[in-house]
Amino acid sequence: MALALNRILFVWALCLSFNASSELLERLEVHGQADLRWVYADGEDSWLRRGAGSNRFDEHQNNTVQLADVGLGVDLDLSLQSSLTIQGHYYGSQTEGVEITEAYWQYRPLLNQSYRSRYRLGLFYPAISLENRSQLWSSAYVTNYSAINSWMAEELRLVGAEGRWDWKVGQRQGANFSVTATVFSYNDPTGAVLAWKGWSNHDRQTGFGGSLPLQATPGTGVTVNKQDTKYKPFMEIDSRPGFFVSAKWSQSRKYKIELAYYDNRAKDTEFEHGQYAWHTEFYHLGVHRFLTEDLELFGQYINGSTSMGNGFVDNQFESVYVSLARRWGRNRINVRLEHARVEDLDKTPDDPNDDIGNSLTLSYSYLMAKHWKLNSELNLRSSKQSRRLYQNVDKQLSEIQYSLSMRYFF
Amino acid sequence: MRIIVGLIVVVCSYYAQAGLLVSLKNGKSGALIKLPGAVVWAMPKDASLLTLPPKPADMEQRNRQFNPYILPVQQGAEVIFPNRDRTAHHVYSFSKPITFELPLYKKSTPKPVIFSKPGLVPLGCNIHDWMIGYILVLETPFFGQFETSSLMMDELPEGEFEVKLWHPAIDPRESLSQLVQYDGTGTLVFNLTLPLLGTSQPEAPKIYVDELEDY
Repeated sequence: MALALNRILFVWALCLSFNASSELLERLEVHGQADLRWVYADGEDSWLRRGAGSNRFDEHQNNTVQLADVGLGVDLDLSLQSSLTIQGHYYGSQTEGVEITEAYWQYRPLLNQSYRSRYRLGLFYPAISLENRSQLWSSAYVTNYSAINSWMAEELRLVGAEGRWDWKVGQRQGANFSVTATVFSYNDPTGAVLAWKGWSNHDRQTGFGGSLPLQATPGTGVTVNKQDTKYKPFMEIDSRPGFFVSAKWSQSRKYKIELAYYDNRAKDTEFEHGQYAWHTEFYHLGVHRFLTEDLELFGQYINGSTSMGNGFVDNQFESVYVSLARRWGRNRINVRLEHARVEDLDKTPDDPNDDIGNSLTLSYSYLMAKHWKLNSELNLRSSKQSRRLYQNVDKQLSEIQYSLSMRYFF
Repeated sequence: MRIIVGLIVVVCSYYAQAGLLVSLKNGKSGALIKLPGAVVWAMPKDASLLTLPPKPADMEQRNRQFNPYILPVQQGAEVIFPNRDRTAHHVYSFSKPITFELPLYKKSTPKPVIFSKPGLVPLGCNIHDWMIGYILVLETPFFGQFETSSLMMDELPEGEFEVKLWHPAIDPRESLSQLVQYDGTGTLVFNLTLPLLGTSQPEAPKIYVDELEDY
C-alpha cells in the first residue's frame, strides 16, 4: 500500500515538473523543517527498540547528535477554492523510509450567508490537538508531545471524508461555533499500541503504511491468529467505516473549547495480515485559554476504551495534561503536567495492559533568527506497568530525558 | 460703499466658520468622544442635489488587515481591492446590500466591485479569521469621516439635511440622526447615551515561524 502511494506521488511529481511554469510555481508552496537533536536519556531502552522505555531515545543515543526529524510539506492550489496537501517525515534510523503523515484534498467554498465550510478527503489527523499547531503537525511549544498527542502520532489517523461548518456567533468579532463530522476507514488496528505498549511522550509520527516494533507479552502467544511482530496501525480489516464528530466554540487567540467523539466501529473479532481489529472509541475535550496575548493555559483530556479478540483484550484508557506557556519576545517557556493510565479489564493471563503514570515537561525555546529555533527540554516520567516484569525491569520506572534541539524551518 | 461693506461681510463670514462642524459627545458628561473613522453623512431633503457621480475608492489589504478599517462610498461607486501583502487573501462579504467574493492572489488585482445598493457591507477574509473591514454604501455624495472626534463638512450646499453618524463601536440601539437647516455654517453635536462596544479593528497576530497562522 505504501509502495503504491509512493509510486502515485512520484508520478504526480513528474507531471508537476513537466507542467512547471511560473504560474504553477505561484500556486505551489513548499515548507519543511530539519531537527538536530542532542539527547541525554536515563531510563530503559526505547520502545522503538522493543525496550520498556517510553521515550524515543535511550542511552544508546547519549552524547551523540541525531537528525531527529526531517519534515516536508507541499501545498498545491488546484483552483481558487481547492488545494492538495501532502506532509511527510523522515526519522533516520527510526523509520523504514518516508512516513507520509497527511495527504488530502481540501475544498473551501463560500455557499451561504450564515456559515463557512471546509471539506477534506484523504489522510489527516482529526484537528483536535492544541499542542500540535506548528507546521507538519509538530508542537509549537515542546519537542516531545503529550501522551495523548504521542498516541495520535503513533496510531491514530482519519482516512476518509470530513466536513466542517463554521458559524459566526453574536456581536463579538471572531467568535465562532464549528461542527466537524468525519467518516473514515483504515484505522482498525488502532488501540493495539496503547494496549501493548502503554502511553509515551515523543514526536515520532507514523505514516500511512508505516509500522512500529511490537514487544509481545507471553499471553499473546496463545492466540489463534498470530499477531505480527510489528504494529501496522493504518489498515482496513472489517470493511466497516468509523466516525468522528466534534463541536467547538472559539474566538481567535482568546479561547477554544472543543468536545469530540471517535469510534472506529471496528469488529473486534476480525484479523488480517498479522493485525487484529481493535474496537476503539473515546471522548476528547480540549480547552485553550489565552490569558493574555503571550500567556496561554491549555489542556486536553481523553477517556475511552479499546477491545480486541472478543474480550481477549479489554481496556479502558484515560489521560489528561495541562500546559502553561509564556512568551517573551523570542523566548518561550512551557510547563506541562500529565497523568495517563490504562486499566486492564480483561482476564487474559500473561497479558497485563495496565499502565499508570505521571509526567512533567519543562521546555524553553528561543527563536534565534528568521529560520532557527532552539529548544531545551526536560522530560520526567514516573510510571508503573506490570508487563515490565517480563523484561526483567521493575514495574515502577522513573525516566529522565533531556533534549536540546536546533530546528531549521524553511 | 454698501457693496464693498457687503463684500467684506461675505468674505469675513466665509472665512469665519464655513462648513458644518459635526462632533460626538458623551451624553452625560458632555466630553468629546474620540472615534476616528466614524462616518458622517448628510441626506438632502432636496433630491435634485443627489446628482453627483460616485467617486471610486480603494480597500487595501495591508499587513493582513483591511485598510482603511471603515470606507464610506456613494451608491454606484467602484471599489478595487489591491493586495499589498505577500500572502494571498480571499475577501468576501455576505450582507444585505451585496454578496461577493474575491479569491485573490498576490499581485493580480481583480476587477472593481460596484456597490449599487445602500447599506453596511462588512468584509472578511476566508483565510485570515481576524480580518475585518466595513464599507458603508450611502445614498448621498455628502459624507466624510472623523479624524479623531469631529468632522468639518465644508462642501455641503445650503438646504435641509438629515445628518447621521455611524461607527461599528457604537451600540446599534443608539440612533444618531438629526435634521439640520444648513445655511453655510453650523455646528452639530451628536450625544452618545449608550457605552461604546469594545470593537476596534483587531491587529493581525504576530507571525512566528513555529506557529501556524490561523489559530
